[in-house]
Amino acid sequence: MITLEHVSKTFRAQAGEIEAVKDVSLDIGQGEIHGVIGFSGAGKSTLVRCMNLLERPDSGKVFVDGAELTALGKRELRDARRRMGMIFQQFNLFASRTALENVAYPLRYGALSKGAADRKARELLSFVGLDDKEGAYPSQLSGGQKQRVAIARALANDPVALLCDEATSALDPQTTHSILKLLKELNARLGITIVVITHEMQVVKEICGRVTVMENGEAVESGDVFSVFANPQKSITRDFIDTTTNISKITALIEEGHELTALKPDERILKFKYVEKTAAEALVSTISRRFGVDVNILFANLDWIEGAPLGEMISVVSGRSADIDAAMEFMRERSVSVEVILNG
Amino acid sequence: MADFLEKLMPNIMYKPEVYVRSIKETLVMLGWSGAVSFLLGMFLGVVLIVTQRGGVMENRAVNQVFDKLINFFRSIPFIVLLAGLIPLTRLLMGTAIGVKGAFVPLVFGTTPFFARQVEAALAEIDKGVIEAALASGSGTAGIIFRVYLRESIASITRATTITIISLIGLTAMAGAVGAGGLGDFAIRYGHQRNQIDVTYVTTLTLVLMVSVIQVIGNFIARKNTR
Repeated sequence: MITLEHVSKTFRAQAGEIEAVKDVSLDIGQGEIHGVIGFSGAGKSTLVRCMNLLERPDSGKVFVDGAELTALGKRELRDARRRMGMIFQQFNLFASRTALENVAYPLRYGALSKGAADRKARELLSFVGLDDKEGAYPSQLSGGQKQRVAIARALANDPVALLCDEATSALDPQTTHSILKLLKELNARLGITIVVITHEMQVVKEICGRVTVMENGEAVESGDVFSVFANPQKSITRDFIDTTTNISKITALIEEGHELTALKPDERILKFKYVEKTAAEALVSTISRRFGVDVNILFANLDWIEGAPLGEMISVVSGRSADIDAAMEFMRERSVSVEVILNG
Repeated sequence: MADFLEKLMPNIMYKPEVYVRSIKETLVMLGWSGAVSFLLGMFLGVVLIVTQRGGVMENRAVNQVFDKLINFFRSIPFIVLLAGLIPLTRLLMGTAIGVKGAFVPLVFGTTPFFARQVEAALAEIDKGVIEAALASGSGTAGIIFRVYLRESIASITRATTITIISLIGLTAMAGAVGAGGLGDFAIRYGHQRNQIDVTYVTTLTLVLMVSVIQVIGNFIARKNTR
């Protein structure tokens, strides 16, 4: 649906050149919800602007729905842009227009009469759950409502793809959740391809099927969300994943010498990672019974990503050294990865 | 009543038709030069915005030319402009005096001032909103008319109010060099013939005009503020 081939974009500023996007190639499939995650300044916003040519890449090609955007003339490009919706962190609604007029804005160009455009805009507003707000001006709407209006506006021309640039970053957690739910619904009901730019791994975890991690303008890691979460390749990816759980707090506890981490000689702190369906098995009680070790769970996190369980657990395991080794071996045989965090 | 007015402002009541004609002349000057300056100023303001760096029709050369031109005319005091433009006024209008003769300098004096204010009003529009319009397939004309101008109605109204009021001041000044209107009336009768009531009545008339324009401007601006 959206293909980027060796796309690069450099900005020339007074301080020198900034390579915002460096040779990024990306293939986003039809109907996919694709996350692009990175810290601010990683180039992800520039990357998404290259997808509808709000920023023209210095080199590389952009294809959307089979058409090469980078080869289109002005007029065709405008038509192509109408086939893609875009929403923003700051909503970017027209302050002087009502919710209905905002949604109708992209429609008034085309063949539609004012009546037909308003009818369609009304349908879209009702689809995003704002039937009663059509006469409201943006200043009278909450952040979540504004983003809903923006989504309705982005959908006005029945686009094949929706680009979301930090669409939930200005919203509180509840509202974020409801907007993500709406995006997921759009994807399921309309089959629309969605690109989600974010710096929050939580967002990726909640709705994305595939994810691309960006760092310093480069796409450093890409894959389906489950395998990226289960088996991250790059340290930046691990950092992002850590933000979604409290597992990484163990490091801080050890560093500050918390009493929980003051181990006796027959104790070890282990990190278990369940990456396959094993998360459903009662492995902790099993090793406890079979190898006579005690397992004290310090942190644990179980996620469902794309319908598959993904679990992590940090525990203090105490018992005879040989028994602990055997228990670790047993877990590994069950494809649970085991890592020693601290030896007593 | 007439007796009372005659007592209050004998010189006005002696020649009310001159007073009324002066008002008409001022309004004619205001209307014509205001309308033309409005259109030209809008045009220039839009050109400055769309051709600026990062604008929808970025063009450094055009931007710089208009920018410098506006600065040039803005730095000339109006009274100097009045004199300096006489040849051009003669060429364009056939005369350099009277209401017709005032038209050219009034436009030259007002347009750059208004253009800068339009530029400032349009600059307030969030870049993100322009981006959203571009992303939805708007072209340059759409961005100008449906986003820039539409979104800045309130601030352009305020700019227009300020400009009309300053234009009233300029018409009075133009009156001093033979353009007619209330300024001319006040100078000729109030000042030169020492008919003090003429000066006062003229001043009051101008205050009234300015107030009416300010009230209307505020009303329109408020109506369009969301």
